[in-house]
Amino acid sequence: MAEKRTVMVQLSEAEWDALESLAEKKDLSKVAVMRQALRLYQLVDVRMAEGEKLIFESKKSKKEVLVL
Amino acid sequence: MSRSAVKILNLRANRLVTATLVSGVSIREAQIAQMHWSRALQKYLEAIPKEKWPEHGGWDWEAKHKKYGRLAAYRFYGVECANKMQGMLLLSTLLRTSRIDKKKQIVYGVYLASAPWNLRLLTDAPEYSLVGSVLVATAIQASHDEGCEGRISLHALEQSEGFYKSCGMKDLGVDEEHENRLKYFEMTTKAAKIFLTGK
Repeated sequence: MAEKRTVMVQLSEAEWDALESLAEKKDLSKVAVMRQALRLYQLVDVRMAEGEKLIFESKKSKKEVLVL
Repeated sequence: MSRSAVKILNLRANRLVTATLVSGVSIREAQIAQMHWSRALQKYLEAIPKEKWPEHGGWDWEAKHKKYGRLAAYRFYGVECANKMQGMLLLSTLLRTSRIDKKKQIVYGVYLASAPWNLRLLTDAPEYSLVGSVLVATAIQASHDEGCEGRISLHALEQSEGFYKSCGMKDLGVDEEHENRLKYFEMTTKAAKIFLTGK
């Protein structure tokens, strides 16, 4: 296992609720959810910096919505 | 990056040998592996009909490293032996929802390949065996580290479907949403345990 570093985070009530809700929904620890958020944020940030767009597509209507 | 000892089978000597599992393959290591694999592949392809060419023969691990190696969500693993990379794996730790148990998250294998000289498809005398199995075991371990209890998933090339089935992965059929319409496979926690421990 690679070396790990520790960080302390203070969250607002809304952020804490979101974290708790996601952890329960995904059956993951809160730390795992935070890691997922960081990985996804970096992925989106790098690809957008390279000129790509983030788009969601509805399964029903196949309509695309530009998110970022 | 970390290195640990693993065992693979030297088929020519018919004995288990110690290899190194590289967790966090560097761009330099990927470049060297790609150079070795491309040269070897070229030699084999000249001698066999096109329909027998490996489906992953066109994969460029250096290019993959440049694309994914900078992102925290992806991890490169390699099995090194006799100063050459014998196999490589790119794993995504951007967790997905399991299609078998929709309440659970799963780690996804993006690419997994053995070196050309280890492929029975290319040669009657492959050098090493168990390289793919070591990489599947590595993915299972990473899944445990991520809190996914050994669950892993991937889309398999047709030539590799038999291998993943033999590992105990469940074939969930053609994924219509996959760009190459490949079959999607998942390994459950139970199957992962059986794969690692035999029971």
